[in-house]
Amino acid sequence: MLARESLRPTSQVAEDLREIARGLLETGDVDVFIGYEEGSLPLRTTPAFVTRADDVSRLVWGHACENNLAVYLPKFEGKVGVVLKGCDARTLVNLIVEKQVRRDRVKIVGVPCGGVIDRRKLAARLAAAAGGGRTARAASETEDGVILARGDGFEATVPVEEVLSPSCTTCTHPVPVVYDFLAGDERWARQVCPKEQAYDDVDAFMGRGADERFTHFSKEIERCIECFACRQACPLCYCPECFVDRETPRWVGRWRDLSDRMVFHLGRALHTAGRCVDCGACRRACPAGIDLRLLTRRMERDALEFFGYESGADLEAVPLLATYRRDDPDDFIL
Amino acid sequence: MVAFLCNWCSYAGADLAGTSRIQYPPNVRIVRVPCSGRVDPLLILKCLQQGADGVLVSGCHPGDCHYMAGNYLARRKFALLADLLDFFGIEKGRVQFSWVSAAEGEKFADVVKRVTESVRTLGRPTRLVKERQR
Ligand code: SF4
Ligand code: SF4
Ligand code: SF4
Repeated sequence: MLARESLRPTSQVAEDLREIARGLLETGDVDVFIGYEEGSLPLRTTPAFVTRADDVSRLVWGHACENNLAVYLPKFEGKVGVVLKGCDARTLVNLIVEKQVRRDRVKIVGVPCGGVIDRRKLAARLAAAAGGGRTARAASETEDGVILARGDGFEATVPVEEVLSPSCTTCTHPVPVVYDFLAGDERWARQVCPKEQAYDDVDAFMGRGADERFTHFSKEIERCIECFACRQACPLCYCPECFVDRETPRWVGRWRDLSDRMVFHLGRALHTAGRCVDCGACRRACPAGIDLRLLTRRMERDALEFFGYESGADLEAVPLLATYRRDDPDDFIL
Repeated sequence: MVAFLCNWCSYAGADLAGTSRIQYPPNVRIVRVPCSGRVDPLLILKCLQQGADGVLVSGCHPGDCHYMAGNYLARRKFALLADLLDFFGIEKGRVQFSWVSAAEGEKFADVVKRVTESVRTLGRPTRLVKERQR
């Protein structure tokens, strides 16, 4: 028997979400409510834009609600209600402190988060369970965080915990830092990774030699097809003109030179420094399966280590690179 | 090597080194910029792509910025850039930073010497260099 606390009653959260959305739409507090609805494939969801109270039944909740819906907020004019997980809420905090979104225009419906599924990991697990080239035809998740999958002649169960998105295993804020409503119960959030451990893998990677590190990044970035889906998925990539699209000067060439792709990845990491919260949306969007977290998390770690700055934690914060302290690190300067 | 020097301090420091006839390695091409805060990390990456052996960015000492805080803001950016490049596996020393005032002709010459020496020990760059520049 599982203890009550370990249960993650996803359907209860969905019911809460629908109730809250209905209230907000009926009173006219929001013009549109952004949440998740069932996708066309099992265990996939897609963003839902609900404008009528009668449509709130479309809204769902579960470990497949992976998109960071904060990405839509800078683009909306009217009053918006939005469902945000812990990491998503931190990206919204950054959008607010960067004056891209007005706090009073958004009704935040926070969800204490149990983590989201990494589709690639799950696919690998199911392929192994099915064997012989068979594929799963149906899949669903149970209330207590187990995925059930069926295909021709096989059945498989996979605990969500074993196929979590890597961002979730190092998550420091599964409960949103800011919200107007909370759907579900804080006790249903996944366990918090202590801040001192959140970057252990980044530090371990730094422990390898420079040659090995460079080779690793070369191999990863070699697969980049410059589709910029990672940029599109990121709520913090709202610039009307991205540096990769600039013509004069052209920062990132179009000749599929590895060097150009590296500049894109380095530039992206720098532009997310002090802003990225490791929501993982970029990594999940990448069709090439590139490990996009390593560079951005190095910047996250540096922001904390060099400047004591935790991204997206505080609505009163001044953005990391828009301010300074006299005693900032200086020892690298001749 | 490419050296981005701020107009108000380091460029004047380089000028002083020249007018004082202080000898320093002739390996730098100087780019005058209004402030070290103007130096977008992308400019530095571009230099490395085009095959520069090294890049030096130099500005006013903390507290001396003509625009009050340009160098303080630059310092945060460069701390992140320096660590990111190191993490990425670009040799430490390819990109360096210094504070040189308008009165420090000697220091400018010394910085260029030190940077030139360390870049020389690293040899020709390959990482991040565009294929047709190799
Ligand atoms: S990183 Fe945290 S808040 Fe974000 S999806 Fe994972 S567990 Fe949820
Ligand atoms: S860079 Fe990636 S992980 Fe970071 S906030 Fe943007 S989408 Fe999320
Ligand atoms: S989503 Fe992946 S393949 Fe596309 S540009 Fe980003 S890193 Fe490259």
